[in-house]
This record gives sequence, structure tokens and C-alpha cells, in this order.
Amino acid sequence: MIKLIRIILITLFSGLMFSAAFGQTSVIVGKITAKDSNESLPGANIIIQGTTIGVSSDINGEYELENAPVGEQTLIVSFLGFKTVSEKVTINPGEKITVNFVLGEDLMLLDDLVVIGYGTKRRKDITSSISKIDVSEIEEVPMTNFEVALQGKAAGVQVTQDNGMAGSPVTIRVRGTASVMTSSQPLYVVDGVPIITGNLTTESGYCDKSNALNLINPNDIASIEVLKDASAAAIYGARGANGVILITTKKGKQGKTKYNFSYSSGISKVNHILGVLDGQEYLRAAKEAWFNSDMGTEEEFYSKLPFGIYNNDLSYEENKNIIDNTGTDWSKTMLRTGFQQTANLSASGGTQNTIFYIGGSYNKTNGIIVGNDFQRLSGKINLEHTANKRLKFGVNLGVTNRQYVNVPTGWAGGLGTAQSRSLPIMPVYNDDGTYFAPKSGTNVVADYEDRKYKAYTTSILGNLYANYQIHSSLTFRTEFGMNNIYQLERKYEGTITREEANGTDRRLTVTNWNTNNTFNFNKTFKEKHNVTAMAGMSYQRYKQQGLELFGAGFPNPALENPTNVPNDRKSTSGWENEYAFLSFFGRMGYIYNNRYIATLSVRNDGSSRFGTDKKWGLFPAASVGWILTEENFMQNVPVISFLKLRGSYGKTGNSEIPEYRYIGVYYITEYNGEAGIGISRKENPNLHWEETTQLDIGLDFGLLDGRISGGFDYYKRVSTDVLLNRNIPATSGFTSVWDNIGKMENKGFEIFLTSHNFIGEFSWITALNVSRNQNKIINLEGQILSGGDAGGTFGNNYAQEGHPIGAWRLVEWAGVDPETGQDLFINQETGESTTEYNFERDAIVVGNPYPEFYGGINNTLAYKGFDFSFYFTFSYGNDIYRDDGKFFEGGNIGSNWNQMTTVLDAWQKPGDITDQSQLLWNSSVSTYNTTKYLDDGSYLRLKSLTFGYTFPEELTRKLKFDKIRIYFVATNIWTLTNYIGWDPEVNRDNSANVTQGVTYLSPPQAKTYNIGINLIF
Amino acid sequence: MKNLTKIILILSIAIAFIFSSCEKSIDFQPTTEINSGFALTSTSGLETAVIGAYDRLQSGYLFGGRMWTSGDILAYNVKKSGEYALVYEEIQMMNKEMSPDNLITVVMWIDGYWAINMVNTVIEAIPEVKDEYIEEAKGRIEGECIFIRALVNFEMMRYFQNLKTGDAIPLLTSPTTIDDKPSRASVDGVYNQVIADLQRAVELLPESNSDRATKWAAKALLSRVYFYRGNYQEAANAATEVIESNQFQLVTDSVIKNYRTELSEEIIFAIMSTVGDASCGALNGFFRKVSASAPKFILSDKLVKVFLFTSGYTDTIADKRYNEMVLPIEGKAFTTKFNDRYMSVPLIRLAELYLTRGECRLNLGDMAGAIEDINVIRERATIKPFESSVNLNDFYYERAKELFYEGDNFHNRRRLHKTIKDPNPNNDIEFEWDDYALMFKIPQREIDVNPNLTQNGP
Repeated sequence: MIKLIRIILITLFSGLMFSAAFGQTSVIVGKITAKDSNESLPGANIIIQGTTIGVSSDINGEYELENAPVGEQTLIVSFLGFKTVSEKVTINPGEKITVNFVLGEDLMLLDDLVVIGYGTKRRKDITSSISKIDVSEIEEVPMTNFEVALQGKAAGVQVTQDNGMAGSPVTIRVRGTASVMTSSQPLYVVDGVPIITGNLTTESGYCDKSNALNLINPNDIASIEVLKDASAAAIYGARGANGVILITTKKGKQGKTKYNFSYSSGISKVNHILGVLDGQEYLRAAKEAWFNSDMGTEEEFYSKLPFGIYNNDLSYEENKNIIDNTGTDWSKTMLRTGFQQTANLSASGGTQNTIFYIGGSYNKTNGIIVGNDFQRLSGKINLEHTANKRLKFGVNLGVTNRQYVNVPTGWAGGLGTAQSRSLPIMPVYNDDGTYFAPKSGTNVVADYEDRKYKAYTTSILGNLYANYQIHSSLTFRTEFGMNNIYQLERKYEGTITREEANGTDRRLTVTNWNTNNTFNFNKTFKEKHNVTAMAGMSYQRYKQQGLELFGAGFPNPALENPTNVPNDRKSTSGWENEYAFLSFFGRMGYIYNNRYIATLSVRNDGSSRFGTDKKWGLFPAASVGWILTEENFMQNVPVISFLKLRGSYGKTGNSEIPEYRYIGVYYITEYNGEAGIGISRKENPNLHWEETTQLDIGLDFGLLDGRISGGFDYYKRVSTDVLLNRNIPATSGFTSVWDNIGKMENKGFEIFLTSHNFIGEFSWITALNVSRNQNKIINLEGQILSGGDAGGTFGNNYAQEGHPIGAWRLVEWAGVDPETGQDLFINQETGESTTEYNFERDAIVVGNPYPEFYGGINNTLAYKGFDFSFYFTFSYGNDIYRDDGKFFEGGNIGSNWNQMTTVLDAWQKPGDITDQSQLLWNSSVSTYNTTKYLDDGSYLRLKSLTFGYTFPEELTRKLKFDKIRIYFVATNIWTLTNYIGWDPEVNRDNSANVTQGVTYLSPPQAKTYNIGINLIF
Repeated sequence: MKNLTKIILILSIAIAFIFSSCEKSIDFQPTTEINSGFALTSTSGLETAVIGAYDRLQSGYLFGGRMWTSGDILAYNVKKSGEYALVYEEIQMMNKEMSPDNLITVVMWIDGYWAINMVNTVIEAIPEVKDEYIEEAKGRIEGECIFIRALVNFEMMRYFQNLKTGDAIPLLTSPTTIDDKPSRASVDGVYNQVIADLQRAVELLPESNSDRATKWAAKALLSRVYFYRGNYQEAANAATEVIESNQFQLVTDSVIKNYRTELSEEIIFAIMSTVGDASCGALNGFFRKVSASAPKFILSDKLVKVFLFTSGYTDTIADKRYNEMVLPIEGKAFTTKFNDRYMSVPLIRLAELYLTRGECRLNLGDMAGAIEDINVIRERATIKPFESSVNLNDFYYERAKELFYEGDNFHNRRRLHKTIKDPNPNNDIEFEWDDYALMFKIPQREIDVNPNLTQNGP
């Protein structure tokens, strides 16, 4: 069989050769150059229309096309990033003619292919809202997580790096928060595989959790697309309500093997230090509070200092002398100059039949917080083989090994404690070199030395695929992918800080596999009717299994593994959960005469998270577009080079609730040594999909031949049947069940502009995007859900009808009474100020954790080999609640907390005008939740600044390189804000939708300075 | 080559068909929990569910602590130790200003109804089980279930009942769904159900049942219920049956033995602790006084005085209970009663039955019997026995001492219509026995979701 085909193929091929040799042919030569820079363009494609005769230009932009058939022919020249041109030539037999082409840059990249989910589409033909992210800077800006590259780059995509720890989570919201209790993070798909996201550890207290997304090497990414509106995201149906982030990894390209090496390294520093009191200031403020509250004499003050600061074996004078002269800057003990380095080496290339990309990468990031070390080693192979005219198959495979050493922060200790409960009048060490008060929980240096935590994570992410061309217009593609994660965590807490050592060993296995099978049809009828169709199915199955061993009572301090403790001091626990999605979907597109575009898509999703009758959801969407510039009447308006109007409407779903919520379940327990079971959840067979319908109206335009381009989108998303806990009578034994009861709305607009201010030898591009989103909860059946009710861990924020999610309920603070020095609050019944704090009566709904406007501005300048770019991000109108402020500003001075320097301005005597009430030792008023601690979190930040130099070609060639580039990058180096906490870019708890915009001793952000080199050879 | 192509194509289409025809690919069962549809389909399933119900009784909001201590806080039997801060909810109780959101009362309601629902679910599931073990086990299982239901209903009602209107708590005898909105039953209704449950439990339960509910536990609880109902004859009869069963003996050497992991011979029913699985965590938190542990509460002066002035002696404190379980340090009277971190919580002891029967006998006119019963307790405590006469106040004080911090005194005062008075002479505060300030509020969250419930008081 194979032989026969081979014989036929060879015969055919020889036949063609024969006919070509004896036909009347000619030779065409020429050079292809770019219009503005006059540079030659190597690798451009020249083809004779209607034939397969074609050639690529060589390294000098020159081409020689042999065997050109005689007669009138049309030559078509195309090159990525440039506008395709065609020219008619007349070829006489035996003649050699020269045809040169000058290609104009396609500034809007209208012919660029955009990944749209189970396919690609020309940018020009897209009628939905999709942002393609410029990923060029990923290679140069130091980042452990690729999501950082999205910040400020795409309209409608709000990105917050939760804190400055290495590997810290990133909160992403596409067009606002569409849900109350279910996840609002978008779906991430890498090369067709929906990947594992979120936190991989159950260890509490570590602000930057074991984030799954930093297992992806940013350097392997070739493109990132964000599907924002319903028409784009509905092809991911049930998973699409929060937007979809599609990541495509780098592929090889036919041609000579290219090696790409890059190395960068640099330092990081904390970008802002919270002003807390030093030893002298602390004593002054604390004594002031002590005396104001008539607590006793100065001697009593000293003798009652906690943690043994006052040494009973010494006299009062000796004590006072020591204490007065002790000043520890605890924050400093937990901060350091960080260091990061990244090395990448890749090879890519291929033959006519096989293309490949092979890369390896190493990243080491020692964060700004002492003990926070991140290391990632990753390898990547992407191969594609074209077996014959019809069949192509390939593999994308990435393997990552990550080692993560972590320390507690925030409320759990470390830097969080250093700035609060570690008093500056405490020394780190006693005179004999031992730790001072190591068991008090406030000596963070002792805590750090005594605790070890490490996570070792291995991730495998990849897929196998085959593409089969059934017919010239019909292809079938099948993919089988997987994303497995294996993690071992080790924790040991020693006896310096506790009575008894304990250790934890935790293993996690996540298996996640999927298959996609699609048919794609694409045909143009009668030159004017382009029809595309896609139909397919996919299945994804996810399983997570965890096992934890805890042990205490180590026989020897050298044994830190909990398997070494006696059996009766061990305890184990485990968990397991599993979900699957089975989906069928289809999409049809129609383009008439390159100007009227319509797309229709539908997806039917089944999820294991819902009961028998509610498993399936149907998610349809439609979009239309009209390219006005294709119309004759627009040809007379030369200033407008491109104009497209588009609109879409559709439905997406969200099912991101924990597993098995529709069935009632029993937990397993023990009583008096016997195994027992108890109801842990009531069944709710009616539980079903949360749905979001979205309307999007937008336009894309280009002016002055694309020199200025941009667009605008207006959208309105309404989420109904929102999944959340509904309160039920506790006579059932339970207080709530998951139910579909909420309704929520997000509406807003997005503006994005790109201007090529200068093109040619000196080029300057400015890109700007601004987004606005307004969130409002329409219905919660009258419930007011606090952070704790709504899946968070604490509760000053609330979800309540008529307000944006996460708005606060706080008593209005009215300043400090100049006569008495007491805090004043507004009595909402009388409107007058009062010293009485009455939450029930006076709490008002106030603030919004989400910004009114956010976006980014990027400038890139280049001249000869030099390039310079600087890029700002901003957030305007969001509020931050300093949950720690109430303890930091007088509130906890009597409870042994260090204070912010603002307390030095405390009220002293009648007539003083100040924001800081009189310091009192036992003030409870200052610890109440009031608007005093609600701050404007707006900021403008110079997110990155890059200066690079690419060596001239002649020199590079001499050194046998294709490209040599060196660069300097700085990030987060300048911020404009009125916010007085550590940093306005902050998020205490990124898991819950309600509890955003709150800080509690949160770790700060880092600024980095890096230099790097990039070699291509 | 073409073969390979075909194989891939056929395989892919086959995969597509397999998935499209198979709903099972998206239907899973949890593995570290049990689907309620399968949980109670076997005898062992029922048995473990009963264990689960006992397990919930360990809750710090039920018999693990607050079901007992709330009354003592309300009745001024404790005062702040000053060594460990009280939480907001406890301060509300101290001040008799319990809000409808008071977490202690709210969680007691939730946990109590959880347990009631659990046993109701088991009772409903018994007839469905058809395996070979069910015949032998079903009577006992039902008996344990209705015993637990009666216990929780009775103890919860005592806090939440409206003494002015006679509204008790919702009375549930079958499992509820998430949408049921029951209204409050009458106090009479709850008593009748509790008594009926206990009478049936006496019939169903065995005489011994490995530290779980027995016939005698049901009978002893029945005696307590009749006593509080004012049915002295039945209360005395039930007490007599337990006393004369000779299954239980008063501890004679050291009374602290009643507050240990291992049950003493005096205990009729307890919520069990094992090492590592304590029932008494909340009680430890309130009272435990060891070197490093600072309790929230110490004995009120009034309670100390009861020990001092009712022993029948004047010179020293002879009371064994005081000597063994009260620890005065620098003017503060701590109790060591709950020092064992793994104490099994003794819910009913034989001593209570003597005091109950004695008071019943007094009320029924049997003075000799009354003296005999109270003296059993006084002699065990090495204080002076009564000789010729005894009165209701003597019984009141003896119960206050014998059962101090064991969930009796507050209810007993209200049973006797005694006022509850702030012992601080500077505060001229006194509550009538049926004052709204002493009743737990129906949780506000409950009223918000169930319009059929009424609140206690205005």
C-alpha cells in the first residue's frame, strides 16, 4: 500500500519535473526592501499567483525565481508585519527580468493571526473582543510569573501583583468580578490544555502561596491572547465567564538552526518602608499613653513591659538604662537586598518536514524578604512533523522543577510581626548570644532560624496532536494533553521557639488531562463568500490527591522528618477531589466580500459539579462586524485607513465551586475511640450553572495608514444564578447551602490607542489603554455577606445589594475633638458627631476596592541600535482598607504593638488640631473599624524602564552572531500615590472576591534593577 | 503511512463517540466523604452515624462547655479571673445584655439542631436497612437516637424557652430539608415529647452499652426532666429505680475522680473524652487552673460563701468538694474541677439522683426520706448531716455545691422562681426568674430566614 502510494507520488513528481523542464520558462530576480527604513527583508515569500511556484528572499533580501511560466503573471509578496503587495509582470520566454518590491509596514498587523480558541483568525476578521498581549518584554523584565507581563498591557484586564515576594500570586480580573463566591480568575489554556492554577498548598500563613502559575517558564511563551467578550469566550462555554487567557508556546521555523542564549541578573530592594517608631519614639509614645490612662508610675511602666524586657534581677535604674538604649529595627532584620538571575538557552529551526523548538531555562530569585527563595529549572520541547500532504503531528512538552523556600509573613509572623508585635525596645539577642524571648512569638529572628519550610514541585505540561487534512477545505485535529503536578512540602519547627519540635510532610499529586477533537472547514465560494466552520468536543478530567503526615516529639533534633517520631505522635490526614468537563461545541463564520462578518458559536458543557438533571449547560454567542473601509464610499476618505464596527452578545458560564456540592455528604470522625460519621452538608439537587450574559459593542480603527490605530469597547455583563451560600434555617443543622441566587452586573468601557509617532530610522511608539469597570450587586435575596460568609478569611468587606462587591461597612470617622482629644464618629440618626461608637446604628456603606479607571502607557523609542522604553501602569479611584491601621495608630499601644510614626502627632492639649487622638493605654475606641483607615489607593507607577543596545550587523557578523543585544531593566522604581501604607499595589487575600483591597501587615513590593545580554547565533 | 492516518482518525472519532455516549465520564463520588445517599444503607452505617451524633455533643457550645457554663455566667456564679480576657459574647452574658447575634447562643442552636437532625435522619433510615445485623441492633440504635434527641431538646429548651409566653423551641422529630421553616412548639409540647422519647428509650436501651446511653441513663435523665417539670412522684420513682439498680455507687475516697477520662462508678452518663479527643476543651478554657494556664473565671464570692456557711460547722471548711476542687490563691478562688485536659464530661451522676429524690420526697411530705437522701450527699462530702428536719433551701444549697458548674444551678433557681441578683452591692440589679434578660434570644439569623419564629421579648 505504502509502496504503491510512493510509486504514484514519485511518478507524479517526476512528471511535473519533466513538464517543467520542457515548458517555456524564464527567470525573475529582484530585491525586497522595507519602505521606511530601506532595510532589506530576508525571508519574505514571493509566489506566482495561482501556482505553487515560489521562493523566499535570502539574507540580503534578494530572490531568484526560476521556472517562471511565460505570459502575464501576478507576483505576490508577503512578509509578516508588512502589507502584502502584488504586481503584474509579463514574462517572455528565456528572459531574465528584475522586479524589486518595496513593502510598507503593516502597522496595525491586520493580517496577523490571532489565536481564538480551537483555531486562529486574521486580526482583520475578528468581531469579538480579544486582546493580544505584546510579550516581547517577557524575556527582559525579571518576573517569576508570566501574568506580570499582562499588567497594564491589555484594556479590560486588571492585574495586581499581590506583594513583592518571589513567586507571589497575581490577581487578574477580566472586565471586573462576575461572581460573589466562586472564582473570578480567568481560565488559562496553554497550547490547548486547560492548566492547573491557584494555590497548591494548605499551609497557612505564607502570604505567597505555592502558586501553580509560576511553574510556567515565561520565556517559553510566544503569544498571549485574552478572550474578553462573550463571543470570544463562549467557545470555552462553562469556563469562559471570567475571560480566557490563551497561551501559545514558541515553535520552530523552517530554516537554519538558530540558537538563542540570554542571561540576565540583578538585585531587588523593598520599594517603600512603613514608618514605625524606633526605640526612643516608642518609649515616648507608650509612656504618654501610660500616663494619659493613669496606669501608674514610670517605674511601674518599665516593670510591666512584656516578654521579660524588664529584668527582675536588675535594679530599676539598670533596667531603665538598658531599655532606653535598646533600639532594634525589626523590619530591617527581615528585609534584604534580593538577587535574581535567569539564563535561557534554546535552539529552534527545522526542515521542510520537521520543525522544532528546544529550550532550557533556569531562574533563581531570592526575594527581598529574608528566607524567600525561588528556583525554577525548566525544559521545553515543541516538535512538529509533516508526514505527508495531509498529515501533520507534533508534541509540545514542558517539564518544570521548582524549589521554593518560604517564610511566614503578614499576620502569620516574619515581617508582619517585625513591624507590629516586635517592639523596638527588645534586643534580638541576649548578652550571652542566645535569642531574646525566643518563645514569645515576637522575636522574628529566632522564629526565622527555628522554622524551615520548603516545597519541591514538579510539573509536566504538554500535549500530543495530529492534524489531518481530509479535504482541501476540511481538516481534523486531535489533541491529547496533560498537566500533572507533584509536590512535596517539608516543614520543621524547632525547639528554640517552642516547647516541642514538630514536622510536617505533605504530598500532593494533581493529574489533569484533556482531549480536544475538532473539525475545521474553511472555503471561499465565488471569491466573495468565505465560510468557516468548526465542530468538536473536548473532555477534561482533574484529580487532586493530598496526604499529610504530622509528627511531634522528635527523639533527636537532628531528625527533622516526621517519619522519625514515635507512632503515637504521628497523625495523618488526606484529601481527594475530582472533576470533569465534557463539552461539545461548534462555531460558524461567514464573511461576505471581505466586509460583512458574522460569527455564531455554541457550546454544550457537562460538569461533574452538578447533579444528574443539572449537569448540562448551553452557552451560545453571536457577533457581527462591518469593515467600513472596504466600502467604496470610504475610499474617498484617505485619512481613515481602517474602520471596523463590531458587536457581540452571548452567554458564558461559571462552575468554579468546590466539588460535590450538589450532593449531601457525611464526614468521618471519631468519638470515644470509635469511628463515626456525621452530615457535613445538605444536598441541593437544584444547584446549576452560574451564567453571565455579555453585550459588547466596539470599533477598531486605523488612521493615516495605520500610524494611529486603536479601538473602543463598551460592554455590559450580567451574571445571574450566581452561586453563593444561601442562608437557611439552622434547624436543619446547617446555616447555609450553595445555591444559585445572586445577580450581579459589570459594565464599562475600554479605550486603546497605538501611535507610531515616528517611523523609520528613529521610531517612537506610544501605546495607551484605559479601562473603566463598574460593579454592582443587584440581588442577594437581602443577604449581607461578610468576607467570612463569602469564602474569605476575615470580614470588613461585604457583599450587599446595590453596592459594588467588597464595599466596606464602616462607621464614619469625624476627626479628633480638639477640646478632648477623643475620636469622633458621625451618628447617622442625628448627623452629629459623637464619641460613642455604635456600629449597628452608624455603619455606612463606603468605598470600592476596585478602581474607577486603570490602565497603562507604554513608550518605545529606537534609534539605530539603541532602544529605550518606559511603561507606566495606573489605578485610579480604588480604596484600600488598612485593617492594621486601627492597631498601628494608637489602638494597640497598650497591647504591646509598635506604632506608626503618625502617633507622634497625637493630641496633647485642648486646642490641638490633629488626626491622631490622645494616646491611651487601654483604648478600645482606636481599634474600631472606621473610615479613618480607609484610604485612597490610587497610584501611577513606572512599572518598567528598559534601555537596550543591539550591536550593528557588521560587527555581529564578524563575531559570527546573528544578533547581540545588551540591556538594562528597572522595575517599580517610581510611584506616585497618597497611600500611606507599605504599597498601594496590595492584596491580602486573593482567593475571595469580597475581601479585595485590604491590607493587614502585608509584605511590600520590590523594585528591581537588572542587566542582561541576548545572543542569537 | 496512510494506515497510521486512518488509525488516528478512527481512534479520534471513537473517543468522541465514547465520551458522547457516556454520562459517567462526568459523574464522580467523593472519596474522603460519604454521599448521604449511601451513608445509612447498612447497620454499620447507622452505628457510625450514632457515634457521629455523640461526637457532636462534645461541642464546646453544647456539653463540651457552654451548655453548662452559660447558666453560671448568667446566674453570677462566676466572676472574671482578670487573667484571661473574656470575649464579647461572654461579656454580653455577664451583663445580661445578650444580643440576638450572640455567637454562643447562635452556635448552641446550630449544633443542637445538627445533633437532633442527625439522630432523626438515623431513625428514619432504620426501616430501610435490610442486612443481617439490623434486627439485633435496631432497637438499641433507635433508643440511643431518641435519648440524644431528648437530652438536646430538654437542655436547649431550658435556655431558649420564653417563660412568659410558654413558647419553647421548634420540635423536630423527622429530618428537615433545607427549606423547612418550623415554628416554636410550646413548652408543654417539648416536655411531652422529651418524656415520651425517654420512656421509649428506657424500653429500647440495654443496661450496659460501652460508655454510651443505657436504660439507666435514660431513666436518670427522665428523673431530671420530671423533677424540672414538677412531677415529683415520677421523678422520685425514676431516681429510686436507678439508685436501687445497684449499677452505680457514690465515689467515697476522692470526689475529683468524677472528673477524669475514665468514668467513676458514680457516673450514669457522660460525654466521653479520650487522650487526643477531648470533650472538655471549653470547660478547660473557662476554669482550668494549672501553673501556666490562666482561666477566664473564678468562683464568685457568693458561691464560696455557700460552701462556707452551709456545712453545718463554723470553724473550718470541712467540705471535701471545696477542699478538693477549690483553690484559693491571693484572694481568688479558682476551681480545679476541670483541670483534666481529657476529662469525660459527667452529664448525670448518682449524687444528683439522691438530691432530686430527696427534694421530691420533701415536697411529697416524706421528711425522713428527704433527710436520708440529703445526708448521703453531705456525709460523702464530710460535712454535718441533718438530723431532724430539712427544708427546700437546704436542698437548694446542697445542689448548688454538689453540682457547681455542672449546668444545674441557673435552671434550678428559675425552677424555684428565685430572683437572680448581682452580688456587687454597688449595682442594685436584680432580675425576676422569668426576666427576658435571662432568656437566650432566638438567633437573629434564624428569624431572618424563618418568618415563623418569634423572638423572646420585645
